[in-house]
Amino acid sequence: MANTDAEFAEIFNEFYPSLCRFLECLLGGASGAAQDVAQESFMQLYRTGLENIVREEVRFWLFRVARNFALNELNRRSTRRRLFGKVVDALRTETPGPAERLEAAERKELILSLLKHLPEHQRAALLLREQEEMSYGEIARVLDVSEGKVKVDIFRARTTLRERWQRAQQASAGA
Amino acid sequence: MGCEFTEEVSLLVDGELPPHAAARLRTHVEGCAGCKQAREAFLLLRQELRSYEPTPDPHAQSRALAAILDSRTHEGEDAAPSSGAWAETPTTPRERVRRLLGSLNEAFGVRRLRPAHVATLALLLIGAALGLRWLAGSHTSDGTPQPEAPALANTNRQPIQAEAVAEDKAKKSKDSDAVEATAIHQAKTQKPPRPAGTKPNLRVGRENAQVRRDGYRTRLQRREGLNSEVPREIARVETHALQPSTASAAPYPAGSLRAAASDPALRIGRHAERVERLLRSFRNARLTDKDPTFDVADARRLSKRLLYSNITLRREAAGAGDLPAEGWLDSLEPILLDISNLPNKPSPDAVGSIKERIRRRQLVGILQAQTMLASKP
Repeated sequence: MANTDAEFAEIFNEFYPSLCRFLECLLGGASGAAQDVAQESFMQLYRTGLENIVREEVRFWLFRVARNFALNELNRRSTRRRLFGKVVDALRTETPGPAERLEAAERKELILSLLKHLPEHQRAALLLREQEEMSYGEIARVLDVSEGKVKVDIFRARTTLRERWQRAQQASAGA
Repeated sequence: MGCEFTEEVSLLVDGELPPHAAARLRTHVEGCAGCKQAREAFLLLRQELRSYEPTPDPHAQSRALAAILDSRTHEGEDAAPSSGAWAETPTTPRERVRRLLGSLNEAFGVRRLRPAHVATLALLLIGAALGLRWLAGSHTSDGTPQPEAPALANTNRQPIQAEAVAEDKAKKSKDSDAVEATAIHQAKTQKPPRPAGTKPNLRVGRENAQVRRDGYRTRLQRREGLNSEVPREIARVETHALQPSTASAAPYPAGSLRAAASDPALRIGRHAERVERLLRSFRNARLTDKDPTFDVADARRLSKRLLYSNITLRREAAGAGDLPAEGWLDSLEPILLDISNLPNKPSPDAVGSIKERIRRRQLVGILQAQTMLASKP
């Protein structure tokens, strides 16, 4: 048991930060929810048992499970947002202007807002490619789709982001 | 942009093209403005995504790992029935002790509470009890009759005070952990117990009481932003609150009710206390037809009310730049919203998911800490 726990802790410490980053981008910047989902995914791994998964497959297994949990979370939040909007609208106040924000925070916010416009499958494929540096074949296994679909999704995601990025830059230059 | 090879540029930057096709495309890109721009844009985008830093939370990782590794121990000991992990009522004395230690761990943020810690806490509690007893003795043993609780001049305050007293009673009966926390706080602020066999020094006792009253008045003035003069109305209520019989009965001095209404820290503290009670009872309830101690409809109503005040307080905290308060208030909203949207007969999955999140995010412990912080002068 001690050996298993030590091995699990090693895997946890290796993949937890990158899994949190992937989930935070996938969930539109919700860091708390990302940490919850990451913990839930590792909990699932712990319950499944490391002995039942090939060591080289653990990373893909984790990202696959985390993405499925994240999909559930996104569904829950879309329902919650509908209900929550009614409350928030009544209490809406002025948000601070762009001049008040730091540049780094602005860029982070911009990236997240651009990613939000992508369909979830495109967003997941692009993040796994760019942040996790997975090959198309590995992404296909994680997302349970064909390599051809991964290729198309990544290209479409890039094209959309590029267009929106340029539009945002033009808007900020014109302002 | 309109070049037919742009899609292949995406494969090129990913290294997914065979070597000969990659070489051919590179030659093309050098002479095609559209493909060149696309390549640069894709690489810039990659750089932006890779430089994305997740929101830092230095303790999240170790907390998560500890929670996962602890889960196996708890699963083994709980022997949970098929109705789910939310059947939490302790059944054996040993289990009760373990639960109590777990609650204390959560309340004080200690990873493992050792028997030595428990012994220290017990001594503090005994000391607090003896101190209170001694204080009560110093007021009554000098032969002066106990003054009756005076009627408040302004009757509009009575419901507020009654509510505060009712809250205190509910707190005492339902929430033993919170009582312990209050007792510990009292132990820190009260005098040590009088040694056995010695007579109480009444003159010193009265002087100390005066010092405490002066200290309280200074704190009240600071909270109200008054340095020179306490308004007559507040002073009258305060004087009543300082009478020994009423001061020991009310959970807050009557004068502080007004302060509580205007001081954001106190309002946040009281809000944290209410949410903590709701989440604790929700977490511990079985939520079955046979459970008479918990009513879903009540929890839903209360949760909705608390959600509204939570949003208001969070916005105030954000406006005041109080990031920690804004953070923990923000983390409560999804839970409160989910509870307030529960159906009359919620499914075990829905309830289990909420309970799991309350447990995992250690919300009860966080709220308890906030309540204790707010109660400090």
